[in-house]
Amino acid sequence: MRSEYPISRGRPRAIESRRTITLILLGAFALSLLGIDWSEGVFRPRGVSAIGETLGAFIRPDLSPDLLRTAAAAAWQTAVYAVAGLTVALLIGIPLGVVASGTIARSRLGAVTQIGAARAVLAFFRAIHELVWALLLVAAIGLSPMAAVLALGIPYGGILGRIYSELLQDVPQAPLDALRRSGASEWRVFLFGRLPMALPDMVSYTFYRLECGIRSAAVLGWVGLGGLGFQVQIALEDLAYSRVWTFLWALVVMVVLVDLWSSQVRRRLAP
Amino acid sequence: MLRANSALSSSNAPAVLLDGVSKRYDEATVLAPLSLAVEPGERVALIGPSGAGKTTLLRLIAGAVAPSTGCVELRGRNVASLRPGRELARLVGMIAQQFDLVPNLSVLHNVLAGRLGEWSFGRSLLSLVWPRDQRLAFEALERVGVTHLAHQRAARLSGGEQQRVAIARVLVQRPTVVLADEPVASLDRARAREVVRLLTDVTEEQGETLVASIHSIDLAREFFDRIVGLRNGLVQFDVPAFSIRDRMLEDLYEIEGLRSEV
Ligand SMILES: Nc1ncnc2c1ncn2[C@@H]1O[C@H](COP(=O)(O)OP(=O)(O)O)[C@@H](O)[C@H]1O
Ligand SMILES: [Mg+2]
Repeated sequence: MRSEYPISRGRPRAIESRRTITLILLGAFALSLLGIDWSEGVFRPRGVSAIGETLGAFIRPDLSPDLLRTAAAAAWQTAVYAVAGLTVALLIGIPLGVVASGTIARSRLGAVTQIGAARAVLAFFRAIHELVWALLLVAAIGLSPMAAVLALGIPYGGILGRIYSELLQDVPQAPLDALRRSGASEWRVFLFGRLPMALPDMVSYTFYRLECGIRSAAVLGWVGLGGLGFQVQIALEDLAYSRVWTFLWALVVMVVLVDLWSSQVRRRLAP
Repeated sequence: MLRANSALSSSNAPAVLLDGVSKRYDEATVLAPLSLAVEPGERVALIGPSGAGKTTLLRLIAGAVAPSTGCVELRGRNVASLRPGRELARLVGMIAQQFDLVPNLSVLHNVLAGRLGEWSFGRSLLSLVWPRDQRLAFEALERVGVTHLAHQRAARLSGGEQQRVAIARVLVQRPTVVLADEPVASLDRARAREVVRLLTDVTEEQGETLVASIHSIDLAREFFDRIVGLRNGLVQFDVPAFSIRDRMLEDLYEIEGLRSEV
C-alpha cells in the first residue's frame, strides 16, 4: 500500500532554519567589514585615474574592421566552447539530476540511497570551480579544446543536476496522484507528469546557465584556451582599454542574444 | 468496445463491499466502522457536510488509504491484496475535484494517461512524442464532447472542460468502479449539471459502477440511484434517491452548537 501522506517538504522547519542561516550570514558579513583596513583607503591614488581611463573606453570601444573581425572570431570560439560545455553539462546533469531527485526509485530506501549517491557526485563536480577544472585538465590533457569543454561541462553538470533534481521534486502532487491512480508506475508518472511539469523551469534555468557558460568560457581564455578571454588578456597587457571594451561588448551582445532566444523558447513552452 | 474489465472479477460479487471499515488518524476517528455494499452498475451519491468523511471513504475504496479496521473488496477482491498499479487501476478509477490534469500536456496526452497502467515503458515513452491508442482517446473525447480541444494544453481549458477531460481519461482507463470526489464543486450550476449528467451517462453505458461525493442534493436526486448521507464519520442514512426526505437532509446538515463548530 502506498503511503497515506503526501511527502511533506517540512516548510515550517525550513523557514526557521532559513532565519538562522540569514543571521549567521549577516554576522559573517559584519565580521568581514571589520576585517578590512579602512585607513588605507579603498582606492589607490593612481587607481582613480585608471578607473576614468577604463570607463572612458567603455563608451568608445575600438571599432576598426580588423579588430571587429578578431572579436567575431574570438566570440565564435567562446560560443562554441560554451555550447559544447553545456552539452557535456546536460549529459551529466540530466541523468544524475533524475536520480538525485529520487523520483524514480521503487522504494523509500532506494530513493534515499539514490538521492545520497547522486547528490554526492554532483556536489563534487560543482564544488570545484571551472577555472580550477581547467587548470587540472590542461595539466592532464594539455591545451586542447577538449580541456576547455570538459572544464565547463563538469561543474556546470553538477549545478544543472542539482537544480533539475529540485525542480523535478517540487511539482504539484495532485496530477501525479491522478496518474498513479490510473495505474502508472513511477517511471511513467515521471514521463507523463513530473517531466512535463518541470520542463519549462528546467529549460529556462538551462538558458540562464548558457549565459553563465558564455561568461565562463570567456574567462577560460585566461588559462590559454583562446576565445574572448584570451583577447581581453592581451589587450589588458597592452593597456589598450578601447580594445578591451570591444571584446567585452562582444560578450554582452552574446549574452543578450541568448536572453532573446531563451524568452522565445520560454514563451512557446509556457502552459 | 469500451467495456469494463468484467473478466477480472467474479460475476455476482458486489462491485464495492466495505465490511466493518473504519479510519482513524492518530486520535481522531474520521470514519466509524461502517458496512456498505454497492451492486454493479449502481450509481451512489455520497452527501454530507464538509469534514464528514466523504473523501476519506472514497480514498479507502480507491485503495489510496488503508482502513484502520475492516476490509474493502472490489468485485470480491480485497483491495489490500492488490498491487498498486495496473491491477488496481483495472478495478477502480477516480476523478477528483480539480487540479488533476497535467497542465503542460495536451488534452490528448492527458486522456491517454489513462492507458499508462496498460502500456509498457517503451510504449509510454514513444507515446509522449507519437501518441499510441489515439482512436481510443478520440472516442472518449467525442463522448465527453471536447474532441476539438484534443491538441490544446490542459492548462488553457475552463474548469468544465477540464472535468470532461478527466472523465475521458477514466473512460480509457476502463475500471469497473468509477469514483468521483466532488467532481463539479468548482463549476457553476449549469456546467455542474451537464458534467454530472455526462458522468452518469457514460459510466452507465460502459456498465461501470459510480460512487460520487457531491454537494448538490438536487443533482444527487436527479442522477443517482441511491444516496448515502454521512455526518461526523457516521452513515446517517442510506436510501434510494427517490425516497429522500427534507427532514433527513435537515438532520444531516443541521449546524451543531457553536462549541463544536470552533
Ligand atoms: N491525512 C489525514 N490526517 C489527519 N486527518 C485527516 C486526514 N485526512 C482527512 N482527515 C480528517 O478527516 C475528516 C474527514 O475529512 P474528509 O474525508 O476530507 O471529509 P469530506 O470529504 O467529507 O469533507 C476531517 O476532519 C479531516 O480533517
Ligand atoms: Mg472532501
